[in-house]
Amino acid sequence: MTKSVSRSDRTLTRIFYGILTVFSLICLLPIILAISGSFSTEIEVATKGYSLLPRGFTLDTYKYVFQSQGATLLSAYRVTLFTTVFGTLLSVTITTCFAYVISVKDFKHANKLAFFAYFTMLFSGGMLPWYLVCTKYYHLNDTLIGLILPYSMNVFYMYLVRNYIKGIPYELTESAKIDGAGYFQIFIKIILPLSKAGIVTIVLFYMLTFWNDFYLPLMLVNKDEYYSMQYILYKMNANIQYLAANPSGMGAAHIVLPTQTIKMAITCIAIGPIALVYPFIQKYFVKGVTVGALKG
Amino acid sequence: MKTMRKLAVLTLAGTMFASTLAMGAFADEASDPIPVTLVMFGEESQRMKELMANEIHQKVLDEINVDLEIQYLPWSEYGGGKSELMFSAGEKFMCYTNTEVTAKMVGKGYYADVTDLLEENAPELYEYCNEAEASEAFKINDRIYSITVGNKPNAGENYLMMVRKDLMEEVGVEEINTIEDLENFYTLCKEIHPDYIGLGRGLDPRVLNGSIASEKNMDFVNNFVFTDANADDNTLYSYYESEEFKQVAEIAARWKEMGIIPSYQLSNGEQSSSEFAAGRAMFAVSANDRIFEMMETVRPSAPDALFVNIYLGNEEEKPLLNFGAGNYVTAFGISAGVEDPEELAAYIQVINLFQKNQEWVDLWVYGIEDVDYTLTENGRVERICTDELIHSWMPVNVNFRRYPSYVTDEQIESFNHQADNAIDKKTMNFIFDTEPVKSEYAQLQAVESEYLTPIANGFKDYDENIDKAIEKLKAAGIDKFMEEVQRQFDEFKASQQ
Repeated sequence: MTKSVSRSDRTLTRIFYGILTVFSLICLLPIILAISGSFSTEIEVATKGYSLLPRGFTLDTYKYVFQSQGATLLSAYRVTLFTTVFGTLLSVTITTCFAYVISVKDFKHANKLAFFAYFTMLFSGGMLPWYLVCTKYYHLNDTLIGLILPYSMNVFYMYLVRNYIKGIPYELTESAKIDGAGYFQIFIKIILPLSKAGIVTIVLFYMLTFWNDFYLPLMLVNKDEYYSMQYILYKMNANIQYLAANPSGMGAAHIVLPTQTIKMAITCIAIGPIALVYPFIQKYFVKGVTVGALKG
Repeated sequence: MKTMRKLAVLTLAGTMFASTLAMGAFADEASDPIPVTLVMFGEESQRMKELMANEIHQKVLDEINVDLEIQYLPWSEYGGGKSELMFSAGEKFMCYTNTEVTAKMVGKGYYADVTDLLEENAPELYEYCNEAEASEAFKINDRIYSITVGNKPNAGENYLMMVRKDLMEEVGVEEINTIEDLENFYTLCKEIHPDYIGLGRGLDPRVLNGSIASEKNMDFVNNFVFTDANADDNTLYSYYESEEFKQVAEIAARWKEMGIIPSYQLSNGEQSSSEFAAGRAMFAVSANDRIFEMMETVRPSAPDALFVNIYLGNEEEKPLLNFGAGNYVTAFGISAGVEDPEELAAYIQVINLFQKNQEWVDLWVYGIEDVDYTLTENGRVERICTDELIHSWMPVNVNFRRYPSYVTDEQIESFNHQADNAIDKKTMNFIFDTEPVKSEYAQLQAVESEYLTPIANGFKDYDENIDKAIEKLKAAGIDKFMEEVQRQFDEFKASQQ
């Protein structure tokens, strides 16, 4: 009996692995095509289309990209790295602190603060008020902090961490309190180490948010020294999309399209680092989300 | 000691007073430059960045005491998105516009009224750009809200086909006058260049206006509505329900079958534009003037590319249409956030600099002589740096135009001939306000992209699919839409008389 169950389990596992492999390959295909396209010659791509292996292997596209836009790309890389590192640090700090504060049982304003955060998930002030507050009152336009501050607390991530913290036995913090520890000490020495998986999850979430963000540069940045990598990609695609949507529009006739291989090369440059980091922290990512969900 | 202290205090106070006076006097002599922000759409080239940081910035400062900054936004933000957000937030800037965008922005109170300051601050626009007539297109309730720039005949926009003359010579085709000639050229060229596509940049029904059997000279209000430019009445026709659409669709189907329209045109239209830009398309829909821009785009990839603008039809039966009132090229709208008349004047003065004289036009378009370009003996321009500075199509003006050295005399003659023989568009200056039928319009556009675009491009058979498509158009409210356009058009025509 046991043998037959395990055999059927094995079969099932194999089927699932098979499906997963096919699915992964489907997901991987566009990335492989982009990488291959970026190393192909423009003529080959234009006439024969994309392929799994580069056609007419060349490094000319990368040479051209770095020669013509090298300074802009380098600066965009710096901006993206800065916002990702410091943005994640700031956001994770604010999010975990807030999550801890509203999960402390004897803090009488906890519910009010929780509602205050929750309210923003239901209702938004709208784009124009947001823009006015950012530019006219906080003067976040054309600043690096402007690319970080608006994302400094994501309420959904905050609730994710709060659920995590709530899952930590109350007795632990209570005993620490009896031993004379203050809230800050409890937070640093007990809560943070025990919520590691949850925090790593939101670290990854925030990193992805900051790395992939083109919205804040679009809204708040006018000077090219604050452009991020994703914004450069977005600009390129937005120009192409405008052309596709308005083929005979006034401006459309004048837009010069970047060639296919250049698009692919910039895509590879933009996704490169985050794609390299992802495999190393993805185990926390999966663990964090599932554990958080169970305990929630 | 006390006396010394008093003396020191008095001396200090005296010095402060004197320096304050001196500062005031100095400020009177050279007032602070007025900051002006110009928002452009597209990409800023490396050379433009350098020029804006140095030569152009300094020259503008010296000329009109303006601290000019140029910012770039993606094209997707034109007429909406971020640019609209900036207008609504009352930010101080200007950007280019068209009649439709102007109507929308003025309706929301986003554009500054420049009527009283325009002529005084932009004398050269009146001298070289026929501003008095051109600004008519941007008048709302008799007030001017946008400033037009450039001066060029704008004939036959999308009614002409630019064909690769070098390829015609290669395959031994001397002349193309009809659609059959064009198809023959395609067949011959395809044998030599199987990797080239026929039509680049997509199909526009206007380009077949001269080829179809209909006697109407189609003059479009938008994709759904046209009038007959040859007729005396103001009747508007529903394009997709017309016989003309049927005839266009039949040609499109043949072109699709022959491979003239690439098989990926609907799914990946940008590809055919890329093919064209890379010099691997035989022809593309054009305008009288567009040929020069497109040569500039294509020649870096295909240095021998030479275009000829062809009207597929009889110009005497269906003359080309002249699009531009006052022949302006583009226009600029200034944010209503620029309230101070002195500042508003500075904005207008910057626009005036685009057309001030030959020297300024050369600077904006080509950069610095002998660094970015050289001039040949006959006044043709040869560019050393090929980076685009200000968009080269923007300040095009027949008074200042310099043709590149590769443009032939024949092309210039053909350009002048087509411009001279064009008749005015009947719908010129008519801005259709879609507000009363905005829900119908949105639904019609959805029906168009799902049911009609495939027929219009030859991907679906006309006879088999048109009934269902028209049924959908009716359900979306085409009749109400047509009634509204006709009503507004009649009013517009009545007001013109």
